[in-house]
Amino acid sequence: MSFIPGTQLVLRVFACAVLVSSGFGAASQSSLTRGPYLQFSTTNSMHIVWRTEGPTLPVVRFGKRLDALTQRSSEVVTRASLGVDGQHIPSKWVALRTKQNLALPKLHSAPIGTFQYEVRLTGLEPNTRYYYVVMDGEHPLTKVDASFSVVTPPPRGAHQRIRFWAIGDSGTGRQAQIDVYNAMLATVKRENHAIDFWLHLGDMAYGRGRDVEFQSRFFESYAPTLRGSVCWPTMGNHEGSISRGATGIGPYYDAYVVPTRGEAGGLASGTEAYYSFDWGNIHFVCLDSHDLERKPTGGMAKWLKADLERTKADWVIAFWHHPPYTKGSHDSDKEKDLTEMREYIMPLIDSGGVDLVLTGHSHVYERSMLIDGAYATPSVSENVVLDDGDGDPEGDGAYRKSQGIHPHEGTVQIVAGHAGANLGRKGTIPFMRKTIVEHGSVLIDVYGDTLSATMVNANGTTRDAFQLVKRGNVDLAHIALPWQPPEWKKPEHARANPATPAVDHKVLIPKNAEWQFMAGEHPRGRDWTLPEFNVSAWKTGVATFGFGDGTVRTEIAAPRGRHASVYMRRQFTIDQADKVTELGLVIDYKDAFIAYINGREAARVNVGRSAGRNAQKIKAREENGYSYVGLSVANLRDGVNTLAIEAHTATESPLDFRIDASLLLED
Amino acid sequence: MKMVAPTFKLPFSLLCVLSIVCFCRVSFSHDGPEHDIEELTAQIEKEGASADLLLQRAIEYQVIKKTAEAIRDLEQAQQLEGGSPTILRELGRAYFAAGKTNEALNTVTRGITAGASGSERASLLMVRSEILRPRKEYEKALADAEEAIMEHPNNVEWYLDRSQLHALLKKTKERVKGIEEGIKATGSGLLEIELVDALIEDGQHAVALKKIEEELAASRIQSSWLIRRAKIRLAAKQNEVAKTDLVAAINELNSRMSGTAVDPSLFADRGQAFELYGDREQAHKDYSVAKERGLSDEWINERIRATKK
Repeated sequence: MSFIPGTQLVLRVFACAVLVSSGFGAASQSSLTRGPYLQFSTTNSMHIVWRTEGPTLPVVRFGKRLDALTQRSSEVVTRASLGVDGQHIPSKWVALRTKQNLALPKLHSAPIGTFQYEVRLTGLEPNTRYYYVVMDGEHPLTKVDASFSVVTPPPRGAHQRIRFWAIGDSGTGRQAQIDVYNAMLATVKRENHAIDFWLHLGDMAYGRGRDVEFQSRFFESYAPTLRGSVCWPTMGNHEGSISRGATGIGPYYDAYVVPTRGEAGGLASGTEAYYSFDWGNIHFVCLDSHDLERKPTGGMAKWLKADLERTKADWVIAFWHHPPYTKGSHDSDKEKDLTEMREYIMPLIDSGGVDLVLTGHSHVYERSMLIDGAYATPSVSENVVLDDGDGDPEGDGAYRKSQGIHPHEGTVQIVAGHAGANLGRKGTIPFMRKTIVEHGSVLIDVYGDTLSATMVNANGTTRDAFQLVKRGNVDLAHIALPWQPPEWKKPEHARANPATPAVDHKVLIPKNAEWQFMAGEHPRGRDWTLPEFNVSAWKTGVATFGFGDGTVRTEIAAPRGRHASVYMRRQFTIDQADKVTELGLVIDYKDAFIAYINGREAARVNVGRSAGRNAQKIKAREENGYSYVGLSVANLRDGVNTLAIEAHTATESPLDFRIDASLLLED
Repeated sequence: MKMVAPTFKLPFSLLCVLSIVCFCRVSFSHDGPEHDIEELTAQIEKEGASADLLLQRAIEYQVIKKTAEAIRDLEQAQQLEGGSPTILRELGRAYFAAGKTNEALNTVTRGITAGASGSERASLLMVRSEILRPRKEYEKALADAEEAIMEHPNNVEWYLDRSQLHALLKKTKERVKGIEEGIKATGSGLLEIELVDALIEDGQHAVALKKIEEELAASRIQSSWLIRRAKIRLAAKQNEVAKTDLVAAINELNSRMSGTAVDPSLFADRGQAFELYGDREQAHKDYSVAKERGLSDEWINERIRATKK
C-alpha cells in the first residue's frame, strides 16, 4: 500500500432514485467527502465514521467474508452542518434547514451541507476480521474491497502479538509527513506484520486544527490506514486553538469518537477529552495535556488515579501531547504546560505502575532510560534512573521490571513529535538515552511479557530500538550517578529549517509569469496594492524583473545613488476563500520584498520598517535562488484577488537586482 | 436504536471570532512558545495590534509563565474588543492566577453580563465560581455552578466542583442528587466514586457499602475503598474490623511510596487512614506533605486544621 499525495477518497456515487431517508426528508444525491474511517472499537463492537455532502440513508453492511456482507448496522449518530442564523447559506442547502435537521447534533465548522454519520457495528466477535461496505440506502458508497476491513481487538487480557504505531506532530502536509508515513508502510510490509491500531499524539492538523485542516492534513493524508485500523487520538495545542476540552466542542471533537463510559475498558471518563481503553493485555490511558486542569485536585488527575488503581492489565501505556521531559523544539524545564505534566501527573503515573509514556509536541525523537520519580525542575538524572543501559537487546540488554503492575518500577518516556513538523533541539535531558533530530515515527510490539519499540526514520531506517521485559520479581534501585548523555551545544551557525510548500498544492501564479509593473519610480502611498487601483499607466512584463543577473527576463534600468525597486501586481482567482489552508510564495529575490493581498500586507522579508519609497533597514539576502514564504490569508476573498509585491535592494547603486514569484495554494 | 449524543449550540459570533483567529497566521510548525511570541510580535508590529493576535500572544506568555506580559496583552485586547467573552474569560483567569481577585471577579462578571450565551456563558460562570471559592463565598459560587451546569450539562469537572461546594455548605442531600444528575448526563466513573463519598456523608451507609464492596472486588489497588469502608464501619461502632481495613490500607499505601518521590494523593489517602485510626499527629504530617506537593484544596486545608494539636 503506498501513499499517493493528493489522493482523496472521494467516491462519487450518485443515487438515481429519490430516497426518503429516515428523518431527513430530502432527495439523496450524495458523495463521500470524508472517510470512511474506523473509530473506537471494543472486543464486540466497532465505529465507522464518514461524511457526505448532503444527507443519505446511512447503512453499513458487514460480514466475515467479502462475498457475504450479510449483517447490517443498526445504531447511528448523525451530525450536520447546516449553518447558523445570520450566516450565508448556499441556496442548494436552504431546503435542508428543517426543524428536524436543525435539531441534529451540530458539526462545529464543517462546510455547510455536510452530514457526518457515526455508525456502531455490534455483535462482533473478538480478534476477527470483518469486511464492510458503506451504503446510502441500498447504494454502495465504497468499493467492495478487502482494504475496507478491520480486525476486532483480542479478548481482554489475551496474550497475543499486538502492534501499534505512534506518531506526533505530523499534520503539516509537507514532504516529511508523507515520507514518515510511507516509511512505516514499507516497514510493516517488509516485516509482513501490519499494525493493529495507532495512536496520534496530537498536532495532526496544523495550523489551527480547523475542519479543513483536519480534512487535508489528516483524513486525506492517512486515508488508506484510517479505513483499516482505529486511530486513538489525543488533542495537541494546534487542534486546541479552536477545539475545547472543557466543552468537547470543535473540529477535533467532531472528528473522533472515543469511549467515555468505559465501553472499551477502564474507568468511564465521562468526557472525550481523556479516556482509557484495553487492547489484549494492555491498558491505554489518554490525557488532555493542553487545556484541562493538570493539578492533582483536578478531575483529570483524580480520574487518572482511579483508573490506574482499577486496571489489572499486564501492561499500562499512557499518552498525551505535552512531554514532561524534553529539550527538543520545546523545553520542559521552562514551559508551564510541560512542567505541570511532570510535577502533577508524573507522580500518579509512577505510583500507578505505568510502563511507557508516549508524547509529542516537541519536534524531535527522545527516548529515556528506565526512570522513576523525576519530578524536579530543572531535570536531573541523579537518583531517578533505575536502569541506565540502552535497553537494546543487542546492546546493553532489555530493561527489566517485575511481572504485573507495580508502583515505581520505572517508565520509559518517548517523545515522538517528529512525524512531519520542522525539527528542533534546545539541549539534552540528562536521562534521555537517545535524542535524534530526524523525522520518523515509532512502532511498538507487545507480546506476552515483552514490549519492543523501534523508531523508524523517514528513510525507513531503524534509528533506535529497545525492549522492556516484565518477568518474575526484579529488584530495582535508583542509581546515584547514572550514565549521562554527551553534552550538546547548539551549533554556532545553525540555520533555521527552510520553509517548504505543502506537497499537495496548486500553482495560482507560475514562475516567470506576466505581471503589471512599475520600476524606476515609487507609487504614491499604498493604493497601488488595492484591487481597484487603476493600473493602466503601468507596463506589462515577464518576470524575472531586474538587472545584472542571468535569470532576468524583463530588464529594468540600474539606478545610481539609489536603491533599486520594482512594484508588481497580478490577479488570481480563489473559489472558496474560507477553505484555504495555506497560501505561499516560491520567490527568488534580491534583496528584500513586501507582499500584499488585496491591499493588506501578507509577508515581509528583509524590510525592517515602512514600505515603498520610505522602506528602511533593508537587509541583504545571503542565499540565492527560490525559497518558500507563507502568506497571511486574512484578506483573501472569493473570486478575483490581487497579489502585489514591492522589491528593493539593500544597497544603493547595486550591481544586480532580481525578483520573480510564484503563488501556491495548498490543494 | 439511536445512541444519545450531545447537542451544542455554537453562537455565530463565536464562529466569527474563531474564523478570524484561524485566518491570522500561517504557522504550521514552530520552535516553542518563545518563537511563537516572536512571530506574533512581528505580526503585531507589521499589521497593528488586533484582539486576536494579542490573545494568542497572551496564551503563549502564559505557557512560559510570563503572567504580567499576558495580562498586559489581554488588557489591550479587551480595550480593542471589549465585549469578547473569550478575552474577558482569559483576562479574568490571568488576574486570578496573579492573585488579583477583585479585578478577576469584575472582569468575568462583565463577560457574563455582556450577553455571552451557551457554553461561553457556562465557562465564564464556572471561572467566577472558582474565583469566589477562596473568598469563602460558597453560596454565590454554588449558584454560578448550578447555572453553568444548566447551560452545559456535560462537563464532569463542573459536577465535581458543585459537589465540593455542596460538601462545604453541608448540603448532603443536594450533593447526592447533584452527583446522580452528573452520572446520568456523563456516565463518569469519577462521579460514581464521588457519589460513594457523598452517600457516606449523607448517612446512606448501606447503599454506599454495596458500591464499596463491588469496587473492592473489581480494583487492583484497594486502599481508597478500604478507607471508605472503614469510615462506615467506624460509624457503626465496628472499630476492630475498621482498624483492620485501615491497617491494610496503610500497608498498601506504604508499598506505593518510594523514597522522596511520592504522589501527593497517596499522602492524602494515608493521612485519612491515620486520622480514622486515631493517629492525628501522623495524619497531620501526611496532609501537610500532600498540600506542600500541590494537593491543595478546601478539603485538605480542613483536614490539616482538624488534625492540628
